[in-house]
Amino acid sequence: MKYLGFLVVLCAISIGLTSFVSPLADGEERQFKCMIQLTNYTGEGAYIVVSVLDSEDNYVKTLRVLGDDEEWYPDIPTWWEFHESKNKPNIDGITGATIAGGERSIFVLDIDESYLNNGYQLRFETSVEHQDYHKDDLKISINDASLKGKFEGTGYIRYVRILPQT
Amino acid sequence: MVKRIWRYSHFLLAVSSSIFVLLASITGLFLAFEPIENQLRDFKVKGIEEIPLNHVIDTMKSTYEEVVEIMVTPEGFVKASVFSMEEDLSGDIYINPYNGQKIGDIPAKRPLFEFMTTLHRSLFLKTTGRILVGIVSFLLFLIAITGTILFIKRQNGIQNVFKRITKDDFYQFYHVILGRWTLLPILIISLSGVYLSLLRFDLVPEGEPVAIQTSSVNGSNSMSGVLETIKLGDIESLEFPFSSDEEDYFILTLPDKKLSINQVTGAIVETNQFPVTKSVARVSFNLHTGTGSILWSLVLAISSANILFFLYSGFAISIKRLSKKIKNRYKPNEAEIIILVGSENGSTKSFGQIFYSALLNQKQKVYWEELDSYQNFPNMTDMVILTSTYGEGDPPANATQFFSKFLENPPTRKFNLAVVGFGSLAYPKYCQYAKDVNALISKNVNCESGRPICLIHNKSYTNFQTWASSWGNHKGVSIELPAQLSSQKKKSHTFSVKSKTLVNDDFNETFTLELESPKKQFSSGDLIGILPPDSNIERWYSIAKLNKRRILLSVKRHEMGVCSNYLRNLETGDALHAIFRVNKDFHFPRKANNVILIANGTGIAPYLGMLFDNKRSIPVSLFWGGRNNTSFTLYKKWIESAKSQGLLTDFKIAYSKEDAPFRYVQDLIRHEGTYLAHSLEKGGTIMICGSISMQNEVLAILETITQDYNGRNFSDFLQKGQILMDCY
Repeated sequence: MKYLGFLVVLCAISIGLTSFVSPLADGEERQFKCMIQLTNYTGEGAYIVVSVLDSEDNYVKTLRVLGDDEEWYPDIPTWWEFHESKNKPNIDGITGATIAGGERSIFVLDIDESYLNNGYQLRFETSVEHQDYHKDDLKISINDASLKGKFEGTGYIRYVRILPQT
Repeated sequence: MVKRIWRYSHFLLAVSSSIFVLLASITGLFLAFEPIENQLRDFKVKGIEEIPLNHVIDTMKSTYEEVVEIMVTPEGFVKASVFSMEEDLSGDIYINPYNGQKIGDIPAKRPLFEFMTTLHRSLFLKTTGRILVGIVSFLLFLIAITGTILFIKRQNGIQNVFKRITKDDFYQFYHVILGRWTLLPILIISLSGVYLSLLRFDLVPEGEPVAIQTSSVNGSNSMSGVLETIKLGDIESLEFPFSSDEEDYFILTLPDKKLSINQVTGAIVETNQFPVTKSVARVSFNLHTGTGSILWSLVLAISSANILFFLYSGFAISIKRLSKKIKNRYKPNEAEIIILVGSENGSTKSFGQIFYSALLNQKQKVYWEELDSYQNFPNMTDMVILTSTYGEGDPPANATQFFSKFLENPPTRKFNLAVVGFGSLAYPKYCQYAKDVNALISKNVNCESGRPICLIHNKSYTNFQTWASSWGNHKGVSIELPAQLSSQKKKSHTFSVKSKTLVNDDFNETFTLELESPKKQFSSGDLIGILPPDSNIERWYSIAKLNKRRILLSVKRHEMGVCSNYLRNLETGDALHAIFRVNKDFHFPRKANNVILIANGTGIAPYLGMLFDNKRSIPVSLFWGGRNNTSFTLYKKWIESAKSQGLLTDFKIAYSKEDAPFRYVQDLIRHEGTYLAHSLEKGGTIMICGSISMQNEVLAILETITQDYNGRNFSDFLQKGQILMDCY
């Protein structure tokens, strides 16, 4: 009994600590292969940002940016606000070329384990010069069950396919 | 008139776009080095073009956990998008396709190039900027076109565009020369730039790929095995299947089409043909940016630098043309002497300006104006016209309306006429407009005495001075023109007299002077200007270089000649002051395979040095005209020395006062017609030095000779620089 109480306290402390620490820690990452296929719209190449949101739709992390001309980033206003608020961290390593209507792009998303199954979501937002901005072209919740298969977009994205890497 | 429109458009287009063209060419100059830098990176692996695609696929699959895509860049590097457990073997990397190993990271675009690209493409103004740049690109195209038209007109027709360009002032000469060299690259740069802009704004269709169904999905198709037959060198990119699902295909992009290939059977599932516009777009892009070719990038860099020079020299030319504002002291209705100037680029105006000033100094009531501003001058007693000619006898820029204005409003009282034409003998219609003007005005009833028209080759200031003083003598006004046309004062040197030899041939006293020069950088054929004491006008003498510092000049004493008498009275050891003037167009030719020297009187002087410049011992003939045997004794020792050293192969004299029949050097030339024609045909050079009347006669003979024997225009040889002249 005496030991049990000690154990309970120990467990409580350790759970408390880990649950507090883990979202901040740079823990293990899981890789997901991701393909974005755009609809056959006409016009310039789309700027696309893939980010992690928490359960209250606050930006947490930028995972991928398609579009390498910073001049046009303000055209993705909500993400740009977040990006600027973080003093524009270096995103060279996760930046790729824009894709135009009908084209597709394949890349790998590195998602921190801590975001999995914790109410976080993936946001795909799209913007085309002199056309529309889709803040939530596609939103997928980040958990083991949902992060696989094919998802239809609502704006310039026709669909996104995600394949967990083993 | 039409030419004026082209000139005006060329100018207006350039002025209106200059700031943007300036920015675009500076940034373009920097950007030309980006493809060069890329090309020079060490990611090239030899022989990769021949590797079959399926080998690459296998190698890549066994090296990396996931392969998304491989690409062959325009530089011939192989780029892969892969990932694996190791951090630095993920993402986009350059690989060696033989073993799949990574050979380098994709270097980040340099911030400098990034900055320059944005500035070049959109001036940091996004869409507005891109539209502006597109328009400027089109303007640059129009500037190049109008420039070409002006150039063709200047060369007298399209057949002459590759012929020698007549040397003008520095800016103009190089504006034209470099324009000819870089016309094609500039047309390509501007047109490809326009095309890229049009593409950007969807004003030309980019075109959709057209699908051609080639087989059913089951793959029993003769085209299966395409991955074995296609080589790495043929492809642009290969996208690997997204998953192992058979519905996910290899997507292979070739320059002209895109293939979907079944990953299990290797059969082509779908072929999409790219429209031609895609190739056009790619070619435009590569031509505009230099991607993939160091050589072309260098051409682009040079062209950008040239555009900067065009801007600079274009402005210099325009400023020169616009800044020669005419100012007068007297009103048109008070003036007695009227100077009218016809000038294309302002250089003839300079002659008008100094002539006007010289007359004003003599308290003459003089008025000067452009030919186009002709009006009736009620008190005019003398009319002086100085004009150049444009192209094939057209009036220069500020004289296009003169004829009609003159005929509408002819002079109402008696006047004397003098016309001076400026031109180049290299043009077949030498001073044609001046001749036309002379003919037109001479017909006027009030035109009393017409002095013979004076034609001046290559803006010779010495010739103009001679004409001016003769005009002055006639009018009874002493005209003192400044020593130099340009205001800059030349440095005067002190020479010392080493020897003097006098000869009196019963008609004239002629002598040679040997001077010690303080500097040794000069050549036979250069001029020295001697300023006698109590005078402010230099007299120019053509000199021979006898050795490093030794100058020889030959002078005929004139009864009243200030300078010739001054020189005549110099003794050995005396000092005199003189200035050098390089006379580049009258040096012994370096490349000719034979040379014919023609002179009369003291005009032989420069040849006495030039003979010893014949380092290659090519055949050289000298034809000289003098009074009698006594006159020749003055030059005898150099002629004989050159002969004995094999530097002078042929020497002929014509004496005009020795024995009958009296002969002049012209007669020798006429006699040697076939020899001269043959020599010119072989690429020989003919040099003429002496009096202007001898020069004119010799030129007339040569014109007939080339016509009769060579069947060619004399001006061809002039343009090629085979005829060199220095006459006074």
